Amino acid sequence: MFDLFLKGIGETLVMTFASGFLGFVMGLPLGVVLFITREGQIRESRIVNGLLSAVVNIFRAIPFIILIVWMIPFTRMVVGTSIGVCAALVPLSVGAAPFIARMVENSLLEVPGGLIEASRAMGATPFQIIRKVLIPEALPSLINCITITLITLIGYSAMGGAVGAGGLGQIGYQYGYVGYDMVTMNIVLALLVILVFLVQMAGNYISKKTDHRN
Amino acid sequence: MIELQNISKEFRQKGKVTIALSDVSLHVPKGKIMGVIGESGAGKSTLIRCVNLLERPTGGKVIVNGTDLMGLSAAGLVRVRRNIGMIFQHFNLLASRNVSGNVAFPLELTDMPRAEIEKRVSELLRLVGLENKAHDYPAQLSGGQKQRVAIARALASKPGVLLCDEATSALDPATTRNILALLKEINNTLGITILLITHEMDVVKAICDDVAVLREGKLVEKGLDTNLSYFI
Repeated sequence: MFDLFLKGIGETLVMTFASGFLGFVMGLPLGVVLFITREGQIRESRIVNGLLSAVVNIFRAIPFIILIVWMIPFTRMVVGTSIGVCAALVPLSVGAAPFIARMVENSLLEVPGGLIEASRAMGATPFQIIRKVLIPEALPSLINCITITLITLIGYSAMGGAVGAGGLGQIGYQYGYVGYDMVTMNIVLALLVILVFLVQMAGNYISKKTDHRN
Repeated sequence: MIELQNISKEFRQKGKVTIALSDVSLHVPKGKIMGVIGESGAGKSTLIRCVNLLERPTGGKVIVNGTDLMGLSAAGLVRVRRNIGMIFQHFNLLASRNVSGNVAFPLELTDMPRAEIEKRVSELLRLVGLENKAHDYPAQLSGGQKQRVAIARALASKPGVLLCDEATSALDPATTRNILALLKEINNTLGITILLITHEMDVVKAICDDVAVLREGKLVEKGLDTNLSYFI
C-alpha cells in the first residue's frame, strides 16, 4: 500500500513539473507576444494580437477533462499511446500553455511603462527590452504565475488519473470512486493538500527573494 | 547640436485629432543648456520625446549632431539613441537591478566587455558621488540619489546630448539645487549639450543659457531677457 502511494506521488510530481515546464516553454513566448503586440506597446500589431488572443481564448474555453479526450488522436501521434504519465503530459501542457500565456501577459502589464520608455531611449532593441527589462522586472510576479500553474496542474493531473494517466488521481479514483475505499481516498486527498501547501510555500519564498521593489 | 525644424505632432484617438505641437523650431548649440518652460499640457513632454523619436513628429525635421533622425532605419535609430542620454521625472530605474546594475545597463546593450563595464561604472558612480551605494537597490535610495543614479546611467555611453524631462519636479527644493548643480558641473566638465523641460522658473534661472516658452503647442517666446513673469 505504501509503495502504491509513493508511486502515485512520484507520478503526480513528474506530471505536474514536466507539464508545467513544457507549458511554460510554450506559454511564456505566447504571453510575451500577447503583451508586446498590444496597443501602444513595442511591437503593436492588431492582427497578431487578435489572432493569438482568439486561439488562447478557444483553448481556455475547453474544459480540461474534455480536452484530454479531444486530444487523444494527437496524443497518440506524439507519444504513441493515450494511456500513462507520458500521454498525460500532452494535454496537460497544451491545457496549461494558454493559461500561462494570459498570466504572463498580465505580469508584464505590471511593469511600469516608464521603464520601457527609458530603455528605448537608451537604444535597447525590442529583444533586449524583453530579455533585460520586461522579464527581470516581472520576475517576482512570474514566479507567482508558476506557483499558480503548478497547483492548477496538480488538480488537472488528478483529473487525468480518471482516464488512465496514473498518479494520485488514479489511485483516488480507482480505490475511492470505483472501489469505495474511504481510507485510501482520504489519504490521497491529504497527500494532494500537502503537495499544494508545499508548492505554494516554496513559490512565495522564491518570489519574495527575487523582489527588490521595496 | 540639436536642431528641431518646424516640428508638429498630432495625436489621433478614436477619430479625434489633438494637436500637441505646431510648427515648433528650436536650436540648441553644442555645449549649451537650453530650457523649455511651459504649463502642464503645453506639449513640453511631447517636444522632448521628439528629440530622440520616442514620439515620431507628424511633420518637420529632427537633426541631432548632424544626423537627420527621421530618415533612419530602426537599427540606425538604436545607434543614435545611444548617443542621447535621457533622465526622467520618475527616474525610471530598474527595480530588479542594484545601482551598479542600473548604470551598467546601457553598456550591456552594446556588448561592452564585462571588465570594461565595471571600470566605467565605478568612474560614473564617483562622478555622481554614489560610490558607497553601488550594491543598494533603487527602493533603498532617496529621490535625489535615484536621480543621481539615473544621471550616471544616462552618461554611461558618453553621449553628446542629455535630455532632462522634468528631472527635478519630483524632488524637494534642496535636492533640486543639488541635482541642478550636478547637471551644471557635467555640462562644464564634459561639454555635454543639455535640453531640459520644466514648469519651474527657478530651474531655468539656475542653470540655463537660453530659454524658450511653450504655450498650447507653440513656441511663444524665446531668450532669457523675455518677460517670463508669468511663471515666477
